[in-house]
Amino acid sequence: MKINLYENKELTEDYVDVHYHEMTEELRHLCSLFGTKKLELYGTDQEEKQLLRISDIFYFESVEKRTYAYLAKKVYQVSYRLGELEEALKDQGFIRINKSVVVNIYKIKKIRSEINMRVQAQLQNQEEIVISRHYKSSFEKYLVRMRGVIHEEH
Amino acid sequence: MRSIKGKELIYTICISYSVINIGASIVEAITQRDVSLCSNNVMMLLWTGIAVFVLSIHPLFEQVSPLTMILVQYAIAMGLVMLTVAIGSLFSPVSKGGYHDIFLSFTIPYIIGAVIYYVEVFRSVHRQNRLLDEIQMQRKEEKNRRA
Repeated sequence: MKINLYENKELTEDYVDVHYHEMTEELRHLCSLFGTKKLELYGTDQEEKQLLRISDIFYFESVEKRTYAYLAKKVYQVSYRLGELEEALKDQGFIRINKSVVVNIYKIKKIRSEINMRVQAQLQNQEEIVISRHYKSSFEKYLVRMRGVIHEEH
Repeated sequence: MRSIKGKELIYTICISYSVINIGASIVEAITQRDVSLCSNNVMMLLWTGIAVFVLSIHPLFEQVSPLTMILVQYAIAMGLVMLTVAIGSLFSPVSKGGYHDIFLSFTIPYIIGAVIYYVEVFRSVHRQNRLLDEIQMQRKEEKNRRA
């Protein structure tokens, strides 16, 4: 990708124009970096505070007004509310799948439906989380958006 | 399905009733059947109200599985339909085998609806898995390209 940088002292506000042939995951990621302040997420685990790498997080869960970030094997409490995380990380693959969980779609191994029609997201660490009926449609729309093209089937 | 709340419940009943009634009138005109319109319309309005009410309470079952929700909603709807018929029978008698016919004419469309829902759940899971595969593949390719 070609990058041109222009210095202009007369500008009152910095701006970025992106010219693209096709919207790719890389471009989308860059746009999200330009458009939003990068979220620095610290998690606490028994007094220990640690900067978390967003891409390592499997999902966030809200339990009794506290929010937890679940990694492959560890769980950290974070200071953001679930709604804030959902909004801040929507371009990085995070989407709400039930009232109390925001999941990282890049950590989903597969979606499966049970015989009782309940739909579960199976994660790469073998954990399973229910995708509720209320969020089913927005989850699919989000996947279509993340794929970057209009899903024309149906 | 979106939740039906407050005033929307009345609007939904009115719209559903109009659609069903006009549909039934067209069918009657085509088949040239002579049905007692007055009592039929009242029953149809009652049953439409029951159907819309039962469907509108689906958010209450968010915690349970869809199958449980379908069965509970069926039991509530069937109970209410039978109740309206029982109340109606105080004014005009129900024909022999009437309850059996009502049971069938309610259960069969309900089962068809449930099967359609069931198939749609599996199809949407299939679609979502395909989308996930594509997204993750796309990301892998991007990473490889960058590396």
